[in-house]
Amino acid sequence: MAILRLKYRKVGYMKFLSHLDMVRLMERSFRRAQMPLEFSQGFNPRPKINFAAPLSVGVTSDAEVMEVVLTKKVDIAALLEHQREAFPAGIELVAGTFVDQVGQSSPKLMGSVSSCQYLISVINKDTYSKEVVETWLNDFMKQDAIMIEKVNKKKKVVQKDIKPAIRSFALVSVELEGHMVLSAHLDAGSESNLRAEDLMHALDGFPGVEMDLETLRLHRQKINAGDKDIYDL
Amino acid sequence: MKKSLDDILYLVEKPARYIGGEINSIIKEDLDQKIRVGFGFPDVYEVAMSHLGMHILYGVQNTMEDVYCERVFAPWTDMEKQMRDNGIALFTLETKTPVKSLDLLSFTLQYELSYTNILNMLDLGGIPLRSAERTEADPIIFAGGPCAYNPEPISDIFDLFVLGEGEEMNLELISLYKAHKTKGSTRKEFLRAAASLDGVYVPSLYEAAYNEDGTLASFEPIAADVPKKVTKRIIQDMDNVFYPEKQMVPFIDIVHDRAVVEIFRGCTAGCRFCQAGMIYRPIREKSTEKIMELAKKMLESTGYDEVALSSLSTLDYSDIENLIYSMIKDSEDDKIGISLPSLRLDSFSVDVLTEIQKVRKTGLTFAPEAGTQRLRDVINKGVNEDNIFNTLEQVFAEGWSRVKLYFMMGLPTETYEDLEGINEIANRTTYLYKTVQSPKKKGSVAVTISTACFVPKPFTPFQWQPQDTLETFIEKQKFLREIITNKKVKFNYHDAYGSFMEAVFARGDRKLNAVLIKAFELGCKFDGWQEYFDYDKWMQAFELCGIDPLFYTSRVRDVNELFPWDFIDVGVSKKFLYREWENALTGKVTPDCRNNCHACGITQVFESGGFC
Ligand code: SF4
Repeated sequence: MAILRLKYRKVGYMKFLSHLDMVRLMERSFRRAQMPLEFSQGFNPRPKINFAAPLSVGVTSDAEVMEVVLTKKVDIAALLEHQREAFPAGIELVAGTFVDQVGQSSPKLMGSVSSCQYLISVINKDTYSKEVVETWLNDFMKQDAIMIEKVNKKKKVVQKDIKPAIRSFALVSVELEGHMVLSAHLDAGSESNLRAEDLMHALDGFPGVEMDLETLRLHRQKINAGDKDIYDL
Repeated sequence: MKKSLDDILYLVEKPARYIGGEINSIIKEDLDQKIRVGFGFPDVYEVAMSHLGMHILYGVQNTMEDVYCERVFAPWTDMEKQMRDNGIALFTLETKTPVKSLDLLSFTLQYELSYTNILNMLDLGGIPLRSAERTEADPIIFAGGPCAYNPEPISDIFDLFVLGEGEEMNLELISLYKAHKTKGSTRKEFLRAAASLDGVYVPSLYEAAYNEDGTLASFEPIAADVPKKVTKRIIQDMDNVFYPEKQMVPFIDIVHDRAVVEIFRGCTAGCRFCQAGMIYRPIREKSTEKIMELAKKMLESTGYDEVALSSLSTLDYSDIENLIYSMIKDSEDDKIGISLPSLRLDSFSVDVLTEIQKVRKTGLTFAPEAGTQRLRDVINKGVNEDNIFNTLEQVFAEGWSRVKLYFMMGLPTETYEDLEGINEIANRTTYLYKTVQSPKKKGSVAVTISTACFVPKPFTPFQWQPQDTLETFIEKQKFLREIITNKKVKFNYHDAYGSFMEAVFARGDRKLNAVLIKAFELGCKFDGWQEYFDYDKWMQAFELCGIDPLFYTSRVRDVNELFPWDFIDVGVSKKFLYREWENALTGKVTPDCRNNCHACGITQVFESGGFC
């Protein structure tokens, strides 16, 4: 048995695939690549595939991480080299490694995620200068608490302070025609977790710059486990 | 501000319906040097991608180097709205090319209730709805598929129809188009030439005249060089014909998400209500070796974990036992599932099922079709009570407890006694479950009785017969609802209004073109989806056009009536069909013709396929 960990990009039209679509796609791609899949026991044997952090529909990524359990080791370099025969355009395998050292089981991938880094692009209703946007962002972050409304598991609307979940939030650039790019580093663990969409909705309610959230586009740059990229864990 | 395609994909449900790029979808270069063809399916992605014929024709047309065939499906209503609001015309999935700039655009006609979607797609593509209104700037619009066997209700829409199997015919048609394009011919010139291709029907080259009672008086070509009869095309050699070894694999969940190997065409059972059983004759099989080879290649190229063996009646394949058991043996290691689209009511079916469904004890569907032996003999469904109950007993003993029994309502000669028969079968089934002793039995039994409304179709022995009226259907549904009181039996029935509309168009004539276009203008689309079907709008369309829909559904047609579809030769003769109607009336069964030919006429037109 061997656990293959892969890092891949999800770009182009592939951003429109849901997490469930990705599960199906990976299983089929591994079959096409003739990977020796290990199956779960029981009545309905499934291949063992785990993702570090599901990605929402519409979000692109440079750094998705997943693991698949194989019955034996394979040639990773060959898999990467011939990936275009098995994976659709827009799913790009970047790196692969075996993570099962003898006598040591793989750390639970999803459970180790602590934070994610995003690039955020949005078009403002007007063209603002770099200074205006920066002051506005600073004021937003200087608040004692940043409250949002969330629907909890019991379908009740609750107030939640998201400020502690924001590790960093900054302007990257101001482009033409009101287009701006931000970066955010947000908690993504089981204890504390913040979606970039929710952050942007909170920002949208803050007086100052007016955005058109229909134009919000997200790109995940990194998934972290502590101070490491989860792939390197 | 107008939004781009990428922008609107953020605003619709299931955007992956519109992105293309699936594994095994085809990308070609030098697009301006290709003949550009669209394969249209007038329904949503999940339905279109589940259709085997689409995969076959897409694949075979793309084997031509100088041709690029792309898919064009009906956008769901949310996407349509975004496209219209933002001025985005209907496009191909592969290269997002607007359909108006294609050379040819075909539609497959699988069900009559998809016709308004075709109009909607043309409209969304900026293409005039009527053939006569199109100019040299528009693509040639053509259609094929089972509903093309009565093309008349949509004869104004299409420039031409292809009748029968398309693997050879469509390529000939596209080659002819290319030659004419190179020559610089007009649409008219091309269509005139296309009319001489075997299997091609160009409606503008024929004229219909009517009797005072509205029936067809004559149907003639307008010139001597246009064929009087159009004969359907078939493929003789099923082993050497193209097959999509690289089936496209969708990203999203679709209706039938698996590799499909077609194992034969045609059917010899001879059910009298079934159009497919008549129009797809003669029977032609692929060899077991070929099927095994295809299954292996397809599983490799797709990564699917399930393969279906497809045909009209899979367990009738002549080497079925060997085929299934060999496939089971081959697939065990890779955890590949095998599925069969249809089951017979016999013990062999259950044996096979037990083998291939070791794990999934999901519900099973069987189709006795009618509630009494008398009516089953009328429709020539070769199944008796012993078959039904022995099979169910075996199924229950193997541990299944949920069965769905499928019936048709409104079959010719049906009485309330036949409907009571449906209830009796249901009750006997739940009782039978109680009596079965088996260690595998778990839980209690659940029987679903599902009834559809019978639609008489062209080229069947019932083509002369009226359909039950809406009132009768509703009365009969109410009757069954009331007599089915068994708590373990669930009763489902299919909407009668949609079946009525289907029946109008199934045996309609050219006069219906106007009604169809009117209905579309009134907003009808996705008629096959109950949430969109709008009966009142349809009735309004009939009224505005001054046409009585009952003329097409409720009339007993005379033996000698000239039918709008009579100019098409499907091989099975009208004489044979009428003889079968007479046999139906006397309850005379016509056994499966694999062992005993009944001279249906197909061998007069085609070479024998080996069984006739
Ligand atoms: S020719 Fe005879 S055997 Fe062949 S399909 Fe017709 S009835 Fe059946």
